[in-house]
Amino acid sequence: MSKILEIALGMVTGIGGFLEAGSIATAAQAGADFGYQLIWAIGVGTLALIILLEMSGRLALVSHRTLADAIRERFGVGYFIVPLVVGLVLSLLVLSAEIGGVAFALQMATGVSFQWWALPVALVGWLLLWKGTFGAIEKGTAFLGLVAVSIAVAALRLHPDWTRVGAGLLPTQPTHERARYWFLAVSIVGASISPYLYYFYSAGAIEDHWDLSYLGINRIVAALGNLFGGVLAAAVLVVAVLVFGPRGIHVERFEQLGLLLTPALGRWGFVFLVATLGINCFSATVEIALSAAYLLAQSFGWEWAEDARPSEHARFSLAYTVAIFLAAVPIALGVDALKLTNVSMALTAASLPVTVLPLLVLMNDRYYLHKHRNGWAGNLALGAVAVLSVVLLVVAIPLQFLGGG
Amino acid sequence: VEHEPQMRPGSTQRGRTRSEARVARGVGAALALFAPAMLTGCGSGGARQTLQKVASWTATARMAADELEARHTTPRYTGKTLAVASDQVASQARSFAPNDLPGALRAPAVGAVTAARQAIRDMSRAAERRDGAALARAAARADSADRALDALLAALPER
Repeated sequence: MSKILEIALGMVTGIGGFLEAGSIATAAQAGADFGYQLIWAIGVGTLALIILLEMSGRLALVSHRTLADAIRERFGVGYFIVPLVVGLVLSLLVLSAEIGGVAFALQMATGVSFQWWALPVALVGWLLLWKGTFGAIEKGTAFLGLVAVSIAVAALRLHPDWTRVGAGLLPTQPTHERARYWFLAVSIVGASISPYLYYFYSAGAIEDHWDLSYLGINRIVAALGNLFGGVLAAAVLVVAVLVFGPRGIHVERFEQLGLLLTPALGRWGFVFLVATLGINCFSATVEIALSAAYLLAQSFGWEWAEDARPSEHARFSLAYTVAIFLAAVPIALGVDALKLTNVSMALTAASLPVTVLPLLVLMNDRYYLHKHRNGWAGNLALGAVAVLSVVLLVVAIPLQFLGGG
Repeated sequence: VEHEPQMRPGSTQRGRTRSEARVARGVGAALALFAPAMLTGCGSGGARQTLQKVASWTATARMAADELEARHTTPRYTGKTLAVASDQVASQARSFAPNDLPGALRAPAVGAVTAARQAIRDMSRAAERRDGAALARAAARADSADRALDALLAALPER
């Protein structure tokens, strides 16, 4: 019974973890600008995330090492500096974008400008990290994030053409604005497979004391949780196609998202959208701050555990404190959160090889995984993600300049 | 007497190897390709893009007004969204370069952008005053401007 509960909780967490500022914004932009044409990018991102989470979870529960620990140990500190610096810089950027998402949700609810909300959001997030336990943070925010199911309800109520939705799963060439199309495709994939997700997931497996009996649960949680998350991201895209497309609305600012669900759900649509944006971005905010602290603590060999008292692991607690308040500064200064989201998602996509390629080596290392190493199917899947990550590295930055405007 | 340094096989006159020169040419070409985008920043894609953005924000303002009238959103949200729409359209109008357009479309384009800018500004002010009647009147003018912008965009070739 407890294992079924674990699976259910894991799936809920997967949904909450998947849908955040980046995935909501990029899916809405894609639907408004290109109809159903970019659903395939959500599919690719979801599949890649399932593969990466299952493997980083398996690595953690078999070797009792987080992904960061294993990379540092296997490749040495000289190499580890690269994923550490890249991971921290990107975590701060994405953290800013998520704080921006919460701040915009609060602006929509109250009319008070988003800049004023940045520091209070950081403060509440920090308090939750300071006072809360890992389980409370992970499961509590994820359960609240289930309000995002309202987006799927809105999509169903708008009666999309399912044949065209299905056709969107196959990549097609755009008829206009090619650079923008590919930029959004890269951003969607970047939003789906942010490295913080699998650093956080592998650290979570250690925090939750997963052992070999969790191999099956890990597989189910990684697959089903993120599949549902991917379906919800696709629902955002579908609703944007049907609501913004016919009106010629292109999503340039978070404010426009307040209108996304109202044609389907009326006043509740506005309430649900604000709640979805606010709760899911807040959930991502605390997870990314924690993930950045995990990464730093695991890099320098500090004691780390979210469940311990902050005074017991002072440097770990200081790390998430600095991260969350530092990331709030750009939003407090009025930086355009949607532009920041787009830039950070594209850079995230470009950064993937520094973690994906080492993971490919680790998943074949007998020392870490014993008989649970990747088989040919696992290597084929992770190899495909590695190739994708290298392609993203090459194209992400040029596309940012050509199509990110 | 200074002698010219002897050139190594595979080197250029300045002493760089051919592969170094090839890399330098590649970097130069990449910079030439991306420098305009870096210098001008995103969103400077000419008159068509400006018209698209103005049309998009006009449609956003119209929808925001409609949803408020239907009581699906709050006056605070609508007021904020209209203020942002007004700022965005004003910014686009300032950078609008109608000379990029075919001659016959320049005057109607300037007219449509100006009409949209004024209508959305009036919508924003009406929302601030919570004046529903004035908001509806300005929204009707925004609707006309939106239709004019759509017609102009339909007349322009796709990029």
